[in-house]
Amino acid sequence: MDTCSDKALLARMREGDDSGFAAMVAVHSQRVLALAWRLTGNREDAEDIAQEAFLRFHRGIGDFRGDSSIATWLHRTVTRLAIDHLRRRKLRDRIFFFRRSSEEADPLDLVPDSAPSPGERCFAGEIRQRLDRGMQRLSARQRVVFTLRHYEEMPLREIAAVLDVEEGTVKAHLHRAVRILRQELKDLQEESS
Amino acid sequence: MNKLSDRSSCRPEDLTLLHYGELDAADRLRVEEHLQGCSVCRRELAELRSALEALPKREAEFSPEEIRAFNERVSRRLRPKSRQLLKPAFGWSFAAAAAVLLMVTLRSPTPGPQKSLPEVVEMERLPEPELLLNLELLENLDLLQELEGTGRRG
Repeated sequence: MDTCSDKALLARMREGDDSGFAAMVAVHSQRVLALAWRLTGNREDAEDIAQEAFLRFHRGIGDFRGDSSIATWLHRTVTRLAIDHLRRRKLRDRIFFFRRSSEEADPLDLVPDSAPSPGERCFAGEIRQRLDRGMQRLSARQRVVFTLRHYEEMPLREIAAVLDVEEGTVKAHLHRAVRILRQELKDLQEESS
Repeated sequence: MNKLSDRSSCRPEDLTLLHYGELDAADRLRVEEHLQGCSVCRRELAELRSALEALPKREAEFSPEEIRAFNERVSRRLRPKSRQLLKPAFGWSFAAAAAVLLMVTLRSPTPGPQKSLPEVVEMERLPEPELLLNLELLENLDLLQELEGTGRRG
């Protein structure tokens, strides 16, 4: 979206025109949802995060100076929200695992059977499943850095700015993420070669 | 570094960064020189590239209907907030008006029925929900008046 459209939408929103906000959501929602989904790997979480980003934008409209585009602001906010969300999810999973007593059902038994359906038994389906498993093994930052660099093709310098860390730290996260994912997919890729 | 046996200068992190085009010119040159003499790193880079290129795309599949529903949901979340912002402002201005009205009524020595009539008419014009909303505030004002009266008597 260009700067002129941004300015027009911002002017409408600042005047209290809710239809300006609705128009802004309509312009950006597809990309914002896609990013949130890639970062979290879960549709419901992606929708919650995307919604929160849009509502935060509306709440902070008075402070938005326009140094960056609306798209960049949303991108950055979704990324930060996703990191918080992934950290909380990891912590919750860990607590859930440690609090489990012998009488309680195994949480793995409570989730739907993730065994591949006949249609998914193809090689691509297996790789996708392994990739998801590998992504879950990554720390929140590793996952976000890898997703932004590999899938969103965002330069590491920009990722460092979004996450407010040194570029060297981002490089280390990327390398570790790649190593873990390769470990997860190693045998499958050996099969295919 | 260029010897096959010398692996002390092999830095796997550099290969990842080379793949993603994230090395500056000097580092890129250094790594490329190293690769010319290090078959282990050459093989490692080839495997890395093939592994990363084979990764499936992670495309979110939100249908246009799902996106429309999401847009509507987000906009709906905003509406009550806008109303909430207006409510207190209106509520407080009404409370202030009511307080002034009561003060005027209290200070007038013998309020006759004709004098109070316009005030009654004004009160009737106000929408009922707002009156109900501010009933609690009016009750508090009654309490304040009682206290004021007690003060005067004392």
